Amino acid sequence: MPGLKTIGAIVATLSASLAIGCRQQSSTVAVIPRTTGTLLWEPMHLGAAEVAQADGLHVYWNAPADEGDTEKQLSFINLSLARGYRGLIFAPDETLASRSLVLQVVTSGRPVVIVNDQLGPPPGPLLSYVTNDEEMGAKLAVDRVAQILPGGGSIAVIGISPRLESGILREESFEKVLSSTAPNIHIEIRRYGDSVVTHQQQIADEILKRYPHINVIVALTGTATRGAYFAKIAADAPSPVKIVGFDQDLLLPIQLGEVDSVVVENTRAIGQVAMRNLDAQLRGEKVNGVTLVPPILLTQETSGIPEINGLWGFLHYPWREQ
Amino acid sequence: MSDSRRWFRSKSGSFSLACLLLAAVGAAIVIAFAHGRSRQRLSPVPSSNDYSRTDAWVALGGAWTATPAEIDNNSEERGAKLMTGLGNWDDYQVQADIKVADPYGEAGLIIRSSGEEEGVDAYHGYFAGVRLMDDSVEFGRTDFGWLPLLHQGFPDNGDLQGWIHLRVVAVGCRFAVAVTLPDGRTTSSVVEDAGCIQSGRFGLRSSMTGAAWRNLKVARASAEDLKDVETAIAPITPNDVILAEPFDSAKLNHYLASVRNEARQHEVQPGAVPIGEFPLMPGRHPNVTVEGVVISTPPVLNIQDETGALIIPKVDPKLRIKLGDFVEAHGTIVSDRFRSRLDDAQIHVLWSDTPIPPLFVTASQLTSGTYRGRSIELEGILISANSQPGGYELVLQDGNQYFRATGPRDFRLDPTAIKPGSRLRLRGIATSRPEFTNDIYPFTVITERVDVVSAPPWWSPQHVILLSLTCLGLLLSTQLVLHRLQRWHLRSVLHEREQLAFEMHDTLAQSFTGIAYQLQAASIEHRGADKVQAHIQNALQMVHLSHKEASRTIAALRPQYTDAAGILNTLKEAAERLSDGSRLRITMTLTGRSSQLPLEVTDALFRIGQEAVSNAIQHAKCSELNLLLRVSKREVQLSVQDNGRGFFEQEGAGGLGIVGMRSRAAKIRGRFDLKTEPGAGTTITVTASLPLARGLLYRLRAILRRTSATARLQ
Repeated sequence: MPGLKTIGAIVATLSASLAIGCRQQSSTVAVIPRTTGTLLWEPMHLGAAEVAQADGLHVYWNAPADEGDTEKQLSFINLSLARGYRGLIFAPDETLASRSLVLQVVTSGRPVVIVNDQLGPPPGPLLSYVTNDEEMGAKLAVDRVAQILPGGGSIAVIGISPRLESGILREESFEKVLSSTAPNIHIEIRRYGDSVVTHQQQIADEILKRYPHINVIVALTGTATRGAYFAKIAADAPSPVKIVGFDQDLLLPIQLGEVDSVVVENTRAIGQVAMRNLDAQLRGEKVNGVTLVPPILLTQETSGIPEINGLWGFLHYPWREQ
Repeated sequence: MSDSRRWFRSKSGSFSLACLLLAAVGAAIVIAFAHGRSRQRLSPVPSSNDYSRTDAWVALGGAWTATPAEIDNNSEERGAKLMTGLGNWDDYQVQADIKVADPYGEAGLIIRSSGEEEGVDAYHGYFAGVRLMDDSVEFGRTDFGWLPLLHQGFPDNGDLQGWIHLRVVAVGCRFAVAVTLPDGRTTSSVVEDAGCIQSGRFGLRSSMTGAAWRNLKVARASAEDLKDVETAIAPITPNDVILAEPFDSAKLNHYLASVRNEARQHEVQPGAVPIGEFPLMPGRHPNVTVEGVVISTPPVLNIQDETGALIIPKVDPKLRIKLGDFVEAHGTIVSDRFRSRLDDAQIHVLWSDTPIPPLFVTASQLTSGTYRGRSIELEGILISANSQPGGYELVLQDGNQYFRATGPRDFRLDPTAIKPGSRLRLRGIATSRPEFTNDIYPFTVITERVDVVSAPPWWSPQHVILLSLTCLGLLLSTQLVLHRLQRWHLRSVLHEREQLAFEMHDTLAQSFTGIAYQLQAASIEHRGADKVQAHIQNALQMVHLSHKEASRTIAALRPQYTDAAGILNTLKEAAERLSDGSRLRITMTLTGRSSQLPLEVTDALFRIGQEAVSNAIQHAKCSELNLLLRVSKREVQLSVQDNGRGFFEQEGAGGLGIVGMRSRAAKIRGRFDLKTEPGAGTTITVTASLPLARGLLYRLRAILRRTSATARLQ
């Protein structure tokens, strides 16, 4: 009927006009790490912003002031959804707590790149993973411990993170490589860790005072590394215990030799790869489901190498352009 | 005259133009207002009293409190901010005395800020901070990422434990930062940021330490103020600004000392005893060490561990303690009536930000005493709220229980601004001590946090009355409007009837008079049968004419034309009736779509066309009649053309229904053209505008009417 066709054409035109007018596509993507303003996460900010700028995207960067505030971290994701940001790069604070909301973002049609965690859902057209190579990091740590204790010895492992799959993977990888590479080095003590520095300091202090035969403390997180370092310098008498840590936090203790070494995540490269993945997914292109980025061992000797110095470029980046 | 000019001059064109102009003026006003707002000047300058008002600030992280003398943040959160809500400014200066609590932290002033959120560097603006970890001041810009612009060390051996005066000046894209140490020594620098942020508000910020601000002052600034602090332009090199990691060996020792002090602050002493052991052991227990989390702060300090809770009535006023601090407390435990308190307490904060999740209880459960002293959460309906010196007092109801809640003023929520009847959720500790309950209430909640669960229900007596009155008013208005519409409709119908009555009087009534006259004349005619026949023939002729007029009138009452083609068909039928079998050749031409036309246009076109056709047949004695209808998007034109005898235009202008035709054309804002010459026939043309929207709406309505009529038939 011609009359119905006319009505249909009018309704379709109005609907299309409303849809085009109302839905203005944002050019901003959200990057939500575990926290901001630290040596670990600001290089990721730099890497993501560099690639975003080249690809014509803007970056919204924010996270809770302290690691461990999962609820606050998820609220930033909700904020990103409400603001209509086109995609999400996200480093979960807790694996299980983050799963539902990430799936909600994916089902809303926005691509997500998960950083430094195995969230659970398999990769797909809108979900990919970019993560620190924990097995390589474990090997670096084990090799360093073996170098410190060539004849064997006892170590304590602190800062085991049970709330993150990547934390469990790190610990399991370390023990596996240790048992195969340096069977004469024994793990005498294991302690879980949280995101409170003084709690980790208390744990390390207890180890230093009650277990004098421990030769090396292996701290599996930046918080645990700092806690172990604080325990060592707060002690009345100097301690011969070496600290091998993970995740960059303070540089000076390494330069002074008070912390032997830290397995440093190349979070700048992680940010670059994650943003490239996100941009490709926004254009409907296929990306690698899981990308591993190798870490770097930071010691007194390697503190000036280009790969390490490249991480601190965020200090001079013009953030007004992000 | 061209079509566009014609459109502009038409009423619809003028109206649209006026709307466009109004919209442009409105947009210009809005843009000017928004631009002016962004460039708002410093007027008026906030007074010192303004800073102690809770509504003058917005807290983004931290644990902020204020007295008339100073503002404090008792949290070690990184990047805690307190932003003023008193306005935006461009060239201005902010200064304050600042005391930084912890050895490894920084505190300072934010200037020209906007877009703030919770988060470490989550704003667009500038920050100048005094840093105790390396005895320096750092100034930089943040756009959700920190870019240091200036990093300058203090003079050696400066005492940074006291009040440090910080002044920040912003004029154009030049910024000056001046620091005066407690011993009076000053350091200052000026820095430029090309492409700077031009305006914004100011605020306070601290990171990894508690801090206090006092003597806060804000004033306009000019180039003269920059000159006051300008001693040198500090060049920026990468080595100057590597976070808190100085490479200068003099600063290195100080930095290491800061780190060691931070580490020693959190050393643990062995030998803590569970709190829960003591309620069942009445008496005094000297020299006891307990550990627990702070669940309420002075005036009633309360700590809780896994086994119980303990009140510490007297604490050193200089002790900086906050909720969530994990503390070690040493002293004498006095256990009395299942309540324990710690006298002669020495308290040591081990670490922070370890809150204990509160238990959710009801007021009835609290009256039993089971949860006395523990961290709890409960809900109640607000009965009243009053300000008290330094805080507030609330009275609430939960079921059959009325209870009291007190708390200090904070920047998160002003409880005295909450409406009675609201449902609130309180978090804190409940106490039954007489000095808090006044022996009136079963317990008092020493509140840490108040949240509004729901506002008072809308269905209050006042609102119900208002709604009823509004509905009544609407009903009366609707009745009035309906009544008016009905009266208007009735008037229209009566007017139409009146018009018809006049027409029938002018036509049919006259005809009947004439017929009656002829018949009467026939009845009294005595001049012979021929004359009688003549009268009868005249009467018959009048009957025929009257019949035609009656048909025409009936056709006018029942319009059968709804679209352009319908008009032509109806006019053709009218012409055939009027010609009554004579050899009249009628042609119809329709140009354009036979679309639905507005009712008033079709009616006017038909009536004009009908009059023109009647004139052509009855007066012009034509043998050919052309009916032309042209329909375009914005216009419809009807022409009635005959090959009759024509007439002099000036002679016929006032007659033959031409005045009526012109009048009908004017009513639909159309144009009437008459072209005639003796012996050359006559052409009557009427052209009417079709406003697009009216056409569309009319078509939609017509489609809907047809569709519903079809549905009814089915």
